[in-house]
Amino acid sequence: MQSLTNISLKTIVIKQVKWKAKLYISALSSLVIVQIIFGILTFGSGSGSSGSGQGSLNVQFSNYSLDMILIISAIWAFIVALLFTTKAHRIDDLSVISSRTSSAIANIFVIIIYSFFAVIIMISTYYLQALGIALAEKNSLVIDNLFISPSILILCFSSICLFGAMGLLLGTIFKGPAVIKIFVSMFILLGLILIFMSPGSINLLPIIMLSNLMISVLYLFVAVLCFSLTIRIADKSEVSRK
Amino acid sequence: MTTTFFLFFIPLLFIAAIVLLLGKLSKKIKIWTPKRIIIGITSYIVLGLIAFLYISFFSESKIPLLSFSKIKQLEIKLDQIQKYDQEDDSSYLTEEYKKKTWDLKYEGNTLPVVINEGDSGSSINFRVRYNDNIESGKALVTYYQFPVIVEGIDLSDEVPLPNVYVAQNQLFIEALSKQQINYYRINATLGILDMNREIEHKPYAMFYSNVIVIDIPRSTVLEDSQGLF
Repeated sequence: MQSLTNISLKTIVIKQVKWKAKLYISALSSLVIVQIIFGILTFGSGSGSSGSGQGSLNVQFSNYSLDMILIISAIWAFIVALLFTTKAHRIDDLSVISSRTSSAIANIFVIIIYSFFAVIIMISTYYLQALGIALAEKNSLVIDNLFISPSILILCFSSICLFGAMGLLLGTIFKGPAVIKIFVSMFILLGLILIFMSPGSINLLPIIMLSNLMISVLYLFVAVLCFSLTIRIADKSEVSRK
Repeated sequence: MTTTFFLFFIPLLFIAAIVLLLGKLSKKIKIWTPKRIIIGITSYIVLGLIAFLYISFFSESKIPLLSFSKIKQLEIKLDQIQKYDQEDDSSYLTEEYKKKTWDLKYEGNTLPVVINEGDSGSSINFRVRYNDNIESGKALVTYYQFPVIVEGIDLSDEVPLPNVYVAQNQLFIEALSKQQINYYRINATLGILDMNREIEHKPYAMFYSNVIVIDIPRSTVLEDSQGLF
């Protein structure tokens, strides 16, 4: 990086975070729109349904939990993070003083900030959907648990953050050295084959059975790992900037 | 494999399309300034907060959920009922479970019984009791409804009563057709975690076959062609 004045990496990153958070704000509006669409699509059925037949009764439960909204938010975080590393977004980086490393660090902070807002948007969507159900189905409404526990909120944040980190890492890898590109492509391909050919071979039950906070810590640990790798790869590919 | 594809890739592609489209539009359409987007998002969050406050203060569920201890108590009670029933001890047929009594009249000393449960899926146990206090030509049919618990909700009141009447000097007991009930459950948690964690601890559903007791005078012969008594 060439500059007439000596600016520290911290200053550059702060400037970039401010710049990017404002520039990519449409990503958050897309999350709102996506959640509204999925909220309408799942209005009648909720996140899932369960049924039971007892004697002369057929009971059907439409469950409104955070599952679907969280999945949507996580996919959104992955796509947005992936798009952050695309060429169109890298051109935006030229508007402020940047290097690959500083840009990657700034992207990480933006993803963390956006993950936090995504959780708030997620909660809003959930309560708006719940309100719709409460008004439309007054007589069949069962309020099991209205308050979202802090541990669930942390878990949602860490999940969104993790998917964002994975998107960022994947995007950065495909801009990095060819060896890593080939290695990761093979790894993803084998992973996908394994998932689709024998879904039963992946057992997530031991993770699910952990406490919410433990799962959050695990997710955040993996996210930090992904972020570190992102910075490392970005740093390595600094010289091959196009 | 097809399900996984639809569950994962369709939302993925759909979200990607929306994100890309909005990204392009926000650059082209100048009315979508960052300031306006922030105002829009803030308004959405405020709306969510208002929705939460409204549900908290004004929206009350008319369907009570039984606590875990209450479910456990009922489970013990139902076990006792089963035990009494197996020992032909009718002391479990208390006023607490009595739902309805039909006072019926017939002629003569024989009363043929026709039971039609149809496709209702109901499981009713029939019991006959000779009652010296009932005058000749009269029968009392009493329906006992036991707790029906599904996912913490007592559905006893939702079970349709059978249709009981005397026609052509025959006692007809007909169960109504199967009833469909839909509930909309708000549970602000992650269902996938709860489902796996609580499956071993929470009784999912429990019920005991309802009972119909036919009280007749000792002089009456109840004709049961279906072999239900």
